[in-house]
Amino acid sequence: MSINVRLDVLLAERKMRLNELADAVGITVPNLSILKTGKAKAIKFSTLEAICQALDCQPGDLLRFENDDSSKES
Amino acid sequence: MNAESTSSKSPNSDPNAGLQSPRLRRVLKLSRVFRIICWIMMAGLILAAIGVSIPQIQKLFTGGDGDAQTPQQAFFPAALFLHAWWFAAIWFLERMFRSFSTNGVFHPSGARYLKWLGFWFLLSGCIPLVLGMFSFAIGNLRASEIIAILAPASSPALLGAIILMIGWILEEACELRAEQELTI
Repeated sequence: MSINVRLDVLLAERKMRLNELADAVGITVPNLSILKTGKAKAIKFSTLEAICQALDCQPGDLLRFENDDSSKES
Repeated sequence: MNAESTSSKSPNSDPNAGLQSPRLRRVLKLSRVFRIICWIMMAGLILAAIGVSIPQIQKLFTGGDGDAQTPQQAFFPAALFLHAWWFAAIWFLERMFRSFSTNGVFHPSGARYLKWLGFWFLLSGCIPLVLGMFSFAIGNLRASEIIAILAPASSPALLGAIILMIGWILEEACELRAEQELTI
């Protein structure tokens, strides 16, 4: 059971670079990189709001829930 | 959009990044001072151990006075052991302050040395307590003598237990800090 961050997909769709997003959102590139690689343990609502505004998307587009247990069973 | 709170620092940039508050800066400064005090204490213990050892070494070379053991000779191993014991305790203290001043307060190594220090104090209180109780149980000590042993030994045991507990709390704080650093 895990939450996947689809930041790389959204960036690719919008042909946007990580540092451009970092500038737009006001987060450092290393922090965005942590979020992109799925190492982040939590995300603040303010960060989510800022990313959604910068990428013009919904929180659901950024985050995906995947049930690992069901994939193992099938 | 509220992005001002999101512009946090990189989690891996500076281990002392959290030492911006005056309280933590004070801890950093005091850690340096305490490290110097620890070095002085360790040097003092080494000198004291050498001072205790010199007469025994001299006796070893001069042949001593036969089989008759002086009180100094009888207590020599115990004195050396005590010096080594407290040297180790101060060494743990020095390592802890070193970790505070180099890695910051919330680092697992600082918590680990604090726990070791607590364990050391606990042990240094518990060993006389157990030995005293055992001697009392087998009848080697009177009630007045056992009180004379238990009273001073209970303080380091209690202190050790408290330090150990603070070490666990610091360990928990380190985990919380690590988690907080990965909150974007």
